[in-house]
Amino acid sequence: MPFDLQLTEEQEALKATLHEFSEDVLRPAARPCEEAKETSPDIHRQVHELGVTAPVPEEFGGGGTFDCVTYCVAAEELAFGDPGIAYQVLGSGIAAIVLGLAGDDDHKARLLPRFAEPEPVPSFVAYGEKVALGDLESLETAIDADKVRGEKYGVLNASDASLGIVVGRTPDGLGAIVFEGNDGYDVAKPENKMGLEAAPTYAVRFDDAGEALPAGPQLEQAILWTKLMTGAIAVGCARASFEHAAKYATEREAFGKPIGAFQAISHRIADMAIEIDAARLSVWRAAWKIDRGEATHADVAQANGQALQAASYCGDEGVQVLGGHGYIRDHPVEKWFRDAVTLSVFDPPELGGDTFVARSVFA
Amino acid sequence: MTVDFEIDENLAFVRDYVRAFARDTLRPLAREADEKGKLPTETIKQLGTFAGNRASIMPEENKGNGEKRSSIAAMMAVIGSEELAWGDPAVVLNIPGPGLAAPSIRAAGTPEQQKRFLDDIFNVDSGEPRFGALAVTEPQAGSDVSNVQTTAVQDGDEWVLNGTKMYCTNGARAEIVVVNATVDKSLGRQGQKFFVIEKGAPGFKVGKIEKKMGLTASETAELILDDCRIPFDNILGGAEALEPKGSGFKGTMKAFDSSRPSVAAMALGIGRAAFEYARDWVSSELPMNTSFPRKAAIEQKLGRMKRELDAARGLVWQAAWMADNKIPNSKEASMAKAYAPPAGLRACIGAIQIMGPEGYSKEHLVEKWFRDIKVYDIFEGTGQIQRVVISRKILGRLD
Repeated sequence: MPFDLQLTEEQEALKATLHEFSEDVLRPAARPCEEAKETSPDIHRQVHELGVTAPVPEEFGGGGTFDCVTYCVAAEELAFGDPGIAYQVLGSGIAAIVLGLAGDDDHKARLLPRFAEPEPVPSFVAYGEKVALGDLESLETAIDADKVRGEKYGVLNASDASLGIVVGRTPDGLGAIVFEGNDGYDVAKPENKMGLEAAPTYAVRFDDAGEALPAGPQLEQAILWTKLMTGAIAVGCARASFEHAAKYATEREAFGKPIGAFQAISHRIADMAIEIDAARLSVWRAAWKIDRGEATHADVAQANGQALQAASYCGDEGVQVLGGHGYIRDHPVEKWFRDAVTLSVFDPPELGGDTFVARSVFA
Repeated sequence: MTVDFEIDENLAFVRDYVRAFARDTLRPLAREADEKGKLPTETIKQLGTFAGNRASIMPEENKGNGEKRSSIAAMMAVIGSEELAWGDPAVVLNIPGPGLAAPSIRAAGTPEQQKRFLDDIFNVDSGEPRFGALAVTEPQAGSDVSNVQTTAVQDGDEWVLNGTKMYCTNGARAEIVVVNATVDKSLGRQGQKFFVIEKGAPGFKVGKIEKKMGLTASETAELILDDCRIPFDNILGGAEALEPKGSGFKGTMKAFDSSRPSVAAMALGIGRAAFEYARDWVSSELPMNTSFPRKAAIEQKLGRMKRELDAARGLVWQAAWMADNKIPNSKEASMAKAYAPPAGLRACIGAIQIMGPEGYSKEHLVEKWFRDIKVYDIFEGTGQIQRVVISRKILGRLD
């Protein structure tokens, strides 16, 4: 197959559907959910019903699964609606993807049908650690057979999860432990965040036995998929800022003309567009590699680095283009900037990502 | 019809072939060419023989006039350009061929002109290296091409051209130079037409050869048109070009939309050369007692270099893929051209810093690549101009 960037008809149709949903449902819900510091159950259910956040194979009662490129297209569109809600809903469903790709037959038969129900499953995949570089090798959380011990941050749904997956290191490499119900771990504290508030997260301490997922390349690709979710959301977040700022630049006037007529503004708009395309292409490339079972941690780190850089840049410039109006909450750009910087904590290029990209080139 | 980042075997073959040529032939010539500011005539001849003394060693991008354009021509151009520039960006410009004269003649020339100026000169085995050139820039007119002052006045069956062109690559040794000149000042840019000046035309003089920061082995000439006389038939598009709807400036310049991804690809190739050089230096030469913080910083810098270069390649390939699929790509071509040169420049500066005193030393090529790459953010449309193009596509015209 030759180099190609054309989405399939199904992907285009999904993108259009989700775009409309984002405009009609997520945009109006964004501020209320942020203020309530949670995604309302109604909104969560509506996104869940779209079938893209927790895909379940038909044999387990679901609407079928799709590849990682499609997932990234969908995640960008949802995040364009609202990054916080997108983070909550995508993050709550992604355990289904890990189970579907890496679970054994028993896990799939027993756990996947839950995600096919109309009611979303409060679940999580816990990865992030405060002291780790972010790559698989430097995870501190230790897994020994079915036991896991370690601390994670940014864990969704930890207070009432009925299913959770913890990623850690086994003596042989990457491992993951599944917990059912919320025994086996302690919520150290709820995180009171400056952004992504519609996605309440927790610091969690794990020290107990659960069920181990089979280790191997499948698990590795599945975990990389969960990490790439951050990058895909970041692209949508960046695009939200960009489109809002671009529209504003054609409407707001200063010195007798639209501010977009001034190159101090228009060149920023151009740079935002460049960063977004560069980021999206990096994310798609990593997703395409995951679909081929060939992705490395460096591929995903590269994509996330590019996407988080785009989100922070567009978030900042989005506020800057609007000036004082950008800083007040009447406009959404200040929120997207806070969301972007919060997201960037999950895989910051300068504090890890770029380093293991470099390490990969010496391999 | 689905997202796929793997290039097909034809492109992979071209890439590997050009990569080997760049590594074995171009790269070894780089330092001496830079120091002397030129290549030995014999070497240029050899490069010409290799390239078949025609447009380039890659398939021509746009045959124009009905000849079917290959559906991977633009991808092939960017992939080949990256590899060639990786070998050496200045030596590449010494490969004989019509250079930038080709796209303008292909875009606006009559079939007779295409035969006379391209096929008869470049697609024959003359045994001698032959160059073509394009001269647009003038001392007072860079990005603002509408400010071009060179005039062309008809005098019987001849044109008389007056003006000064500058920054013309291979202009002094070219068999043909394509220039734009105003036939009717009141029409603004639409009053500008393109003309072909043949070597030896009366009143055609070579001014100074520029001394540059980089790309020193590439000849950059000032051209003086002092009552320069050329046949009437040398106006591109023939007499029809003078009609109100004749081949205007804008239409001809459109031919260069296709060159922006390739120029971006060259910057990417230079940046990649610097990145790989620094990477290899770090694995074999990094002093054992390098402090931990410095090692960590080096790793981070190398990672960022690779990340940004890969992102640049994404933008370059996106623009080329769109061209090959006949999707309008003016915005995306400018995005690639705006992003790749600064990303490549950062890679060059990063490589110099990582290597420290060996980085700025002329014993290694990274200092040369830094000097070479800077101009990629300037020629063929500055970074600022690319942002004007991009923002106009997004915002519309607001001024």
